[in-house]
Amino acid sequence: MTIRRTRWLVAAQAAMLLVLASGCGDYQKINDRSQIIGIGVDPVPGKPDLLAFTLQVPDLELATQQSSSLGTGGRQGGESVPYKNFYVEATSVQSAVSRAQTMYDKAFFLGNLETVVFQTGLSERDLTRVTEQLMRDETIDKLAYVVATRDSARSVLEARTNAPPATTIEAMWYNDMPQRGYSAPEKLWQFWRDAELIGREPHVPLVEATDDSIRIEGTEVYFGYQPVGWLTPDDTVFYNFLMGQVRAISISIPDGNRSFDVRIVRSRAHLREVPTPQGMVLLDDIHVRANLNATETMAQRPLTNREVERYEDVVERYLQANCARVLRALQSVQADTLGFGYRYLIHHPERIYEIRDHWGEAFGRARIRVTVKCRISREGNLL
Amino acid sequence: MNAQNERLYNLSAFQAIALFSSSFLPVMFWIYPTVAVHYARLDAQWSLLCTVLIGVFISWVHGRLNDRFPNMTGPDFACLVWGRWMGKAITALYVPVYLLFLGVSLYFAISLMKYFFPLTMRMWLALAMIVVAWRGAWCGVEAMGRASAIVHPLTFAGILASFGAILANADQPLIPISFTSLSQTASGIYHLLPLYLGMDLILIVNPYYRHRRGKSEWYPVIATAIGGVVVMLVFFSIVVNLGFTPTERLAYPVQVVIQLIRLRGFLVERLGIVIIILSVAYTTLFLGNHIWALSSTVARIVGASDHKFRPFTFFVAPSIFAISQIIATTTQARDIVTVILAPASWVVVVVIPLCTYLIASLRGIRTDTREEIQPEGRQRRAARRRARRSP
Amino acid sequence: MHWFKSFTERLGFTNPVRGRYRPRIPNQRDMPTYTGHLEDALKYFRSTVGQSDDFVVRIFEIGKVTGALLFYTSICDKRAVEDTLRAIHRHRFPRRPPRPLPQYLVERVLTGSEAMFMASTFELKQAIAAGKLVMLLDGHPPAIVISAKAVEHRAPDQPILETSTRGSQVAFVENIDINLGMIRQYMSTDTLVIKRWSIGVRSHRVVAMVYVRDIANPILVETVSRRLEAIHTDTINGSAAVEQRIVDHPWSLFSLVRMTSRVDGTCMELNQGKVAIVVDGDPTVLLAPATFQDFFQTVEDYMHTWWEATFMRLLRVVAFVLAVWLPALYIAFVDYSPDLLPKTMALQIAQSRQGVPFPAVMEVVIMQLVVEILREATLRMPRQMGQAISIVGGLVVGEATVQAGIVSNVLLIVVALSAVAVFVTPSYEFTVMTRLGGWVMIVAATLLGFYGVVLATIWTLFEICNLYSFGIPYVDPLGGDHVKDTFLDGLVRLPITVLDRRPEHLHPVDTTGDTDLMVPMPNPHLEKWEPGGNRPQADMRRQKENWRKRKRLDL
Repeated sequence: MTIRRTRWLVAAQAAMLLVLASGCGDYQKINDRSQIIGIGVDPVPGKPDLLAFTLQVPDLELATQQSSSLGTGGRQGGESVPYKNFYVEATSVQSAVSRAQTMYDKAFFLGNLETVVFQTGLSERDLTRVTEQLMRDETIDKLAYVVATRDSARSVLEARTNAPPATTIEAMWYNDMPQRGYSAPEKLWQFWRDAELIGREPHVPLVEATDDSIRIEGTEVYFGYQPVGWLTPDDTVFYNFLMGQVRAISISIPDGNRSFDVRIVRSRAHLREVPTPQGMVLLDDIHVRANLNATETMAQRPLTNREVERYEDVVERYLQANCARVLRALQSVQADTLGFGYRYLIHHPERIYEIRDHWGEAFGRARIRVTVKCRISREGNLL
Repeated sequence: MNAQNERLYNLSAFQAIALFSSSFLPVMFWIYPTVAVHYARLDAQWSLLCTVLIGVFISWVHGRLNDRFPNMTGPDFACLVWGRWMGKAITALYVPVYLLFLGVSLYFAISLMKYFFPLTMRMWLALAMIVVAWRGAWCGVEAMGRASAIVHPLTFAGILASFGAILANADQPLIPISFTSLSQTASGIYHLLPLYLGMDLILIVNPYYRHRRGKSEWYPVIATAIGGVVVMLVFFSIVVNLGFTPTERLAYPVQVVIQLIRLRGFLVERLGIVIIILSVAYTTLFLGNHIWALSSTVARIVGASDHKFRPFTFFVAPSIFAISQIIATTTQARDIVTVILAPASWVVVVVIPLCTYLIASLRGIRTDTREEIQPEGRQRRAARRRARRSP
Repeated sequence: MHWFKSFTERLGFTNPVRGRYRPRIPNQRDMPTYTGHLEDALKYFRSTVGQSDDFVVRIFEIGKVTGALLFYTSICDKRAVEDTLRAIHRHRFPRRPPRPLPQYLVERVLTGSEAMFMASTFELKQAIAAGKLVMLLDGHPPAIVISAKAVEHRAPDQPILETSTRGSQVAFVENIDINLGMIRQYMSTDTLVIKRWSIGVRSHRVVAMVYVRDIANPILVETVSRRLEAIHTDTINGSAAVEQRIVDHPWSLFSLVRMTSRVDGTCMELNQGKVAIVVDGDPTVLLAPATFQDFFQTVEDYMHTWWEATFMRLLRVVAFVLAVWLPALYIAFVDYSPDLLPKTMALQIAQSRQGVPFPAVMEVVIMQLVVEILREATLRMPRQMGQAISIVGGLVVGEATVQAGIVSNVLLIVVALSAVAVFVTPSYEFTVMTRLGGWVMIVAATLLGFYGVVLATIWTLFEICNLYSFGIPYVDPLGGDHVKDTFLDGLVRLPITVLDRRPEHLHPVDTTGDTDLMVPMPNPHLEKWEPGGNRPQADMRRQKENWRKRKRLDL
């Protein structure tokens, strides 16, 4: 065979290989796909094996019809796009997606999942199952936010917000909002991790749909996958103080008949657990840096240094009392969402089985000591 | 230049280190935290550290072996030390172990790609990678050394940056320091050694890099130390984020944790997925290195020159592809790693080189007295010392 | 094994040239020599070179000796002919013609700068064809050949492609003598060596190899010269024909030789240890060897501060990445893995592609073809029509395709950016590689998305790592040998104060060039100078000694 013929043969084989070997199985036009941005899970009354799924997708066709000009007309794409919900009853997330696919002409994909909404009435078994399915799926974005609701997840995902509700919920924490205090966000992977971890329990923000927005209603606390209680938004602030995750939030500190306002710049918490013969002692040292927003005297006279120090003491006492109260509330349901048990495990790895089986009780019985140190560093424009 | 216009050019130190660095890790990289936590529980970090130290030590033994027999490939000095037939038998033992190891590595790499290409047949993904790796091996060790010198520093920097960021962003960075159980730690070490399987490529690259007394024995050590840093960093970033027990439940913990990187405002937000696909570059290079090395080994076993390795790639590359296709599930692949590759790696990576070195030392067999070795390392230092003492 | 070797060698993707060491030896055996019989010689020349109508025979007499001047009037300088005749006619010859007469004429009469003696009619015919003046004397061999070539050429002008804001703006012209003269003017060293060959059996094109004898590696010089000598062909049209016959990998996509038309750039590269190949009739000079990094450097980098130079080099790398990979990544991200993009961007792209009937691949292919057509048309269209076609191109590529729903507007940005980024790399031959490389990546992205792009990149990397350019690996110094060169004068261009050594990857004979980067009078302190006062103390050491001296006196 001549060189030229050999080369043509090789080229033909390569071309055939290219045709046969095309990865066209995964090639799909972006317009033929539809990303599921929100999943809501509700229990189905009377059918314990089934769950009611709400799948939310952005509706690009409607968006294009509404604005026929080129591009998005200056709006941020995806943030103000109309949405579409699919309601399916199924036993699992993937089977729900498959059923919903029969109702839509675009292929669903879960790579851009933004929010997962759990109804608080879901049983431990249901929640474990759904979380396992979400974590097992390789393509699901594990950085989606998990929220809970005491209403139905469907109502949350039907809220009349500007952007799709799932995007609105995610944007509360994703958009680098400086304020953190009234909510304790939890991502899907963190929820799963805390539920599986020895010595730590998950928590999830509670949301509720209002007339034209979605409101944070506090924090739902779990023991494993079992919801055991919830904290109000105000208590969530103290919970965040215990975690050292408060920032850029203004709170009013009562001082007898009067009160003053401080803006918490940031807080840090240092957790320790000390086993003693009488039982476990849980220590939480909180350091707070704050700015003064309003004084008791309403700036009628200049502020003195001693007064500022007194304010700091008042803040410390106030936070200490309330943080201890919230911690005792968590103890009452044996939900160690702060991670004392895990820290104890790290320092005493030989006690892994003891911690795994009995930490809830030990946490419930432990003595707590919360100390707060506050420093007011700025007083603003007025003296 | 010789009559075939071939350059008999040696690899520089940088190229050799890059080549060595890209010869191990992929078989266990994606699963080792799970394996470590499964066998060693909360002593996983200790077993990992010990494995790294063993790997560094054994790489030094490899370096010393190489310097003892410069200009000879591993099969050649194995025959010299063990005797001809025993040496060939020992070298032949490497072939099935390495074929299996490479097949499993390819399987794991393709399994990860299936995450992002669920509808594409595994066969095509594997075929694409093995063809590119084959082409690299065909080009020869100098080209592979240059490619490694370009790709490996970028990969290393990328891993340091990404996993360093993941580690820094952990909310509760907690690592147990106390030591719990010797048996668990030993079990972990035993099962983690396949991390360094592939290191024996150092022995076949022996004639291709410049040997300098006192210096070239440390090239493999630098490479394994770099690998060790990567391994420890990735492990810590996984366990401080996920904790120990959840890590044990994940099939590919590295893949899960790397997806935690999200660069808000950047052109590619889910950087983790990009990094996983970029790891394909490292794996392809790794496969190419080993196809070349294994082909050269087989060539030496049958008595052909290691420069004429190309025909043997027709045996090695399809075998690796076939093995990767025979493996059915991830659990099967993990069983192969823990049940077959773990003990095999102890034999081929630790026992055989160590025994070879000891026997060579005891019997006084060495070939470094010829002019191939350049005695610039230690002697130059002595000269400088003398110069300082003179008035 | 032999069958396997020949099979693989034939099908190798970057098969190197098969070596050949036989220099070109023209067949001179059948040609007669000039023995002094003028009539016979004239008859022979009339039957061979005289078939051309511009062949002239000018008879003259020196005493009783008849002579003839043979030349082509179209190429030979008439003034040289007239000067020769004038010199002969004005000279007072002795009564008896001196012997040997040719030698007497060359030494005492003729005024031409180059005069040679030739006897072979083959060489005489070559000389006539080359524009030289041949003088035959009846009864007095050998013939005298005087250089008298006069061809119109243009004056050195600005370079067309390699413009710069600073530095010399002189480019090479088509005439090799002028080009070599300009090189000598910029590199006035006695160690600059020029070797000339006449290549092409019919074209006899002069090709010169220029190098600096005490810098360039002797093996490199020998390689280039032997490859030039070994060119067997009938015509050479320019430097491209020479380049394609001397490179190591003629099948490779990558250019293995750097081209330039700037004189200062050529001299700078000669100083680094490279060899320049100058071809008569082509203002483009070849520089060998070339490495991958060379295509991202220009001589202008050395005319700016190191900040600007480094920034420009990094910008070129970024532009190269954009040019090659951006369209492919668009396909991979949009149609394979949209979850890699920022969410809002993915939705924006999806929205902008609503109604577009084609997948991303077809969009990219259509737009890339349109851009290539526009590029080629711009090269060849008459200048008067340029503006009109540009408007049409902008309209076609821009608004109209988007309005018609053929492509999305995001793709326009991608294609426009990659089209422009192609030309940020300073070397034109590299832009071809960039454009073709972009197509390869598009095919890879179509087949296997981002995974395919990565594999194609690695394959390309293997190919590049396998290339050699005149003995130097193509990826040097990026490939791990001489890594220092990458950071001194590669990706980063450090200040001149640290560039005291030549790049090692070219293996020059002289590594430092006697470079001393210490600056005299580092702190002249002009502000302390007073008219009529002492010279301000510039040397800190001496100043401290003065202080110490003063202190002793105080004690």
